Amino acid sequence: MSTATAHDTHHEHHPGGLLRWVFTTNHKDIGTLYLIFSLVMLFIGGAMAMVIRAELYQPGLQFVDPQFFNSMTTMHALIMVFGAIMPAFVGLANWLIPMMIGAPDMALPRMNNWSFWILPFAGLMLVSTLFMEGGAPAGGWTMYPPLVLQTGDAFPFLIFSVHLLGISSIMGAINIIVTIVNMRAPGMTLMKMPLFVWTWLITAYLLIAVMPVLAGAVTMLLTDRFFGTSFFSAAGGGDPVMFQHIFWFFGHPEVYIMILPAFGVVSQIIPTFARKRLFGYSSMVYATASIAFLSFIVWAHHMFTVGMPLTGELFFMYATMLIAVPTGVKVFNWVSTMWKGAMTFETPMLFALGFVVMFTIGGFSGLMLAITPIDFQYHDTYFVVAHFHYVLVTGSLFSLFAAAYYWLPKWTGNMYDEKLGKLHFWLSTIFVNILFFPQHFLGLAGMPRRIPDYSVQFAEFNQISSLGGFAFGLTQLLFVYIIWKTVRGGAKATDRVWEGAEGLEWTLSSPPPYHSFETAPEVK
Amino acid sequence: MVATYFDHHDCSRRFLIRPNCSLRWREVVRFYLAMVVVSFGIAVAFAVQGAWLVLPFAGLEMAVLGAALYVVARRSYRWQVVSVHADRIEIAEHGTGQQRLETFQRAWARVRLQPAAIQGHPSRLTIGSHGRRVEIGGCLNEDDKKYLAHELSLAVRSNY
Repeated sequence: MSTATAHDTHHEHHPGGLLRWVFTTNHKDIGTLYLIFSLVMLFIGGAMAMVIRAELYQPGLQFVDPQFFNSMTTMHALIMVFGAIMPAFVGLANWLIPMMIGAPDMALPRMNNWSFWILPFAGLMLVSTLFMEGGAPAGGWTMYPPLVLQTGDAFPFLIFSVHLLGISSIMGAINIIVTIVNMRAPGMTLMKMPLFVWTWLITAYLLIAVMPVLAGAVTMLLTDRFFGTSFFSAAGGGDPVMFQHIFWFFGHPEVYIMILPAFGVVSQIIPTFARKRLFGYSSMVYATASIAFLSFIVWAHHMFTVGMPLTGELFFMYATMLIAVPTGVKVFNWVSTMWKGAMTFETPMLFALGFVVMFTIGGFSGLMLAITPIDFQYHDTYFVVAHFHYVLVTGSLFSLFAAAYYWLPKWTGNMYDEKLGKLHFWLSTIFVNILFFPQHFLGLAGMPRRIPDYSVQFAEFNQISSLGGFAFGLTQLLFVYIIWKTVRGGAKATDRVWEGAEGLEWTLSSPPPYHSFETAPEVK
Repeated sequence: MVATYFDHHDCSRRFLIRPNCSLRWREVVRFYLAMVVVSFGIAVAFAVQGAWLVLPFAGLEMAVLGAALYVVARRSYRWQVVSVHADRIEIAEHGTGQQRLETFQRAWARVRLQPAAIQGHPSRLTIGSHGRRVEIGGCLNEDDKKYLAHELSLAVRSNY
């Protein structure tokens, strides 16, 4: 039985200085660590993208050799997927879920600490492969055998870092699920949860379902290389196509792992700045669950050209096209929320609107790729590159920018510079379209992806794309400056921050106390 | 949450205090089994195709998830029972494999609700006498704590 004195000590003592960050079990500290880590990885992965765009600025080989170019494309993808986008959403989950459901912290704070601190070591190990004999992995982030088995000394480090990144994700997902399931405030029924919490619950479910598949797949690669097994070696009776099925069974839900929380973020922001309740809350929940379910049965649309029976092609084509229905429901609901709303256009809203418009462009190009005969034309071209960058950059990354601007005043207690925020939005929006939109045309004209050199007919669009890329990359330095400026000071934020904001997190002070809700608030 | 009742067997007024837990144990088990079915369903399907190495990872993951759910549910299944007898007050803490009992003389015992020293922190409800105090209802929200403090004070002062 705790005495009053012991209770008091527990609440008011927490370590300071550097050790605070090493040993912290506080959800806000760990959320901040995740967000800083993902920002660093965003710039490392972004620097690799700059190398790619510099090389592709004109035909011929200018700066790097083809092997290093392929390493750049592979590492850029791995770092952006596992090091930047996913940890950023886990960071948001850490910061926001306990505050949104009225819990004092995450359910398993020590595990939360471990799941973060695995990440920097895994990230460092992945980046260190650049300096190993044989160079960094260059077989693409999909790690298809037998190509990936030709990786030099970096191969086991690639596998180990993917394992560590996966363990971190699984631990994060387990923590999120247990927190949401057990620690909601009285009255916070499932259908009263904020959409961000719902989307994360479903995302965590997806993570738990598919991460063992990735772990199994990369372990089989490891045993094929070092222990004489033949899971994916045709010479030993195995099947390299089997790896593609396994990988994409993980890989396609992985795409939704990176976009569902973005849906949640946008569903929080649009009602705030439209000053209306979210239109069709329950349909949003069901649409998210439907997208998650469908993500399990569409994996082979990544493999139409590999070869499969006609019935298989038809099934995966129709199943993929079906995803447009719940996604359409979401876009319709966001637009309906804004309809006749008293809208204002602060930076988070601008990024949310940018998300809705440009993610829809990515969705439509995805719909084109879903059609099997058309996919035969577009497969492995820059059209695919343009498609998934519209989903992951103007989708996921823009939602992360929106989230940062929306909750930064709550996190720091200071308002960000609105003029600079809007400048960041407009520059990002203009340059990201200059960067990726021409890639649609390059793909339609037949330019293959993952090549350092190309035919002169593709030169102009590549130059435009590269210029857009450099400008987009530089613009993100402005984002870092805005965050730095906000953390250091600025106009004080009120508790509610935004006039139309609703939810438990806005009932806390700005910045919130070290422990969010010591006792559970009552949800009416 | 707080439940109060009168125990006619030993003529005491009892207060049952439990922490908030948004899912009952039975529902937690159902939820976990649903996860196990999906995870092992996928792993077995791949094992049948020859990719059996997915299975151990699925097993490991489900073990960790099960442990996490169990630990948190166990933590939520602690409760306090404050029994106000004619001559004494007993505070019993149950759950997590241990039971502790504190006893105070009713005539000397005082219930005290101390407001939070720092804004946003919780108030503290304690009961005790002669310099020895025990916190009760640490898991309650502010409204429930005020209600418990009021009801306990009445019970300690009343005659029955």
